[in-house]
Amino acid sequence: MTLKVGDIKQYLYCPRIIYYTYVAPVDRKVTPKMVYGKEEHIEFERLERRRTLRAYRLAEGERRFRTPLESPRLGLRGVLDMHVVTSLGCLPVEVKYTASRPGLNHKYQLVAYAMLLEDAYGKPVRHGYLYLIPSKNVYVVEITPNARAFVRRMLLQIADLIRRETFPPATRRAGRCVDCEYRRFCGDVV
Amino acid sequence: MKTLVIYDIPEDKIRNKVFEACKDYGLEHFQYSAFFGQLSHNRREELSQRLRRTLGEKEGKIFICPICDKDLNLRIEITVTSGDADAEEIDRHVREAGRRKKARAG
Repeated sequence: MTLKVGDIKQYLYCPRIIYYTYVAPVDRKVTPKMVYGKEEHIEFERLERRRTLRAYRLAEGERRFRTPLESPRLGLRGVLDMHVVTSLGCLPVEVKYTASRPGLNHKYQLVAYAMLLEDAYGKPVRHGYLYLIPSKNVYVVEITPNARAFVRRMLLQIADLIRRETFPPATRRAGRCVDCEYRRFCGDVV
Repeated sequence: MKTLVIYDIPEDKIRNKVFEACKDYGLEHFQYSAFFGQLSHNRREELSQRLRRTLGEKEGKIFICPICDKDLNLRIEITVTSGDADAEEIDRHVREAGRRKKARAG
């Protein structure tokens, strides 16, 4: 089966989200933040077309938006917000609408996109960017061999979880459960 | 964390929308253009995003401030309501003066 890049992000946030997506699918509550995020993405695209590549410290390059990517080798697919094609290679850009700092789950989501780009273009991807709306901060993420190995390991774990249909333990960070959209399905969290 | 939301918005329609949004998030309207209540980090960000959209390009200023319990205990309230002793005293004087005037006239 083909997993989605978003699944890696969700699995790292809390493995139970994968359970509620694939093993025992439940209705997902769409929070206002998700709706706003979608709208902001559209706005980001409109503005980004007019901007230079200075934020990414690039002199030249071609932007490509919402590219569907798939890799049978990895068993992974996803739609990348934006990537910049330069003569030296591709650079993935993942857009996040949040006031806080990007989390590790966002980092590995970006690494997964980088791996998909590598398969699509046949060139290694060394860096990627996390673009934060509204602060317009750009975080550079290095795509290391370890990070790639980590993503592959996570993909195996996710596939394993779905195959065995085990109910995984919730995230150890209890704070994440407070406003979780799946909270009403977990009977054992605060 | 306890959160204080205060705003200055000239346009009635926008101001009412901000008012309603604050109520939707369970905040208490304790003064004109001022709300107060408990909001988690996530809910606070959600509210700020909603208010940002409500205001859009229109004129106005919204201030969202989390306040810790330690600082909240240092708050000072000075309240004078219309039913105060001084005001009642004046009212009584006015009424009595009116009665005396009526008696003289009668």
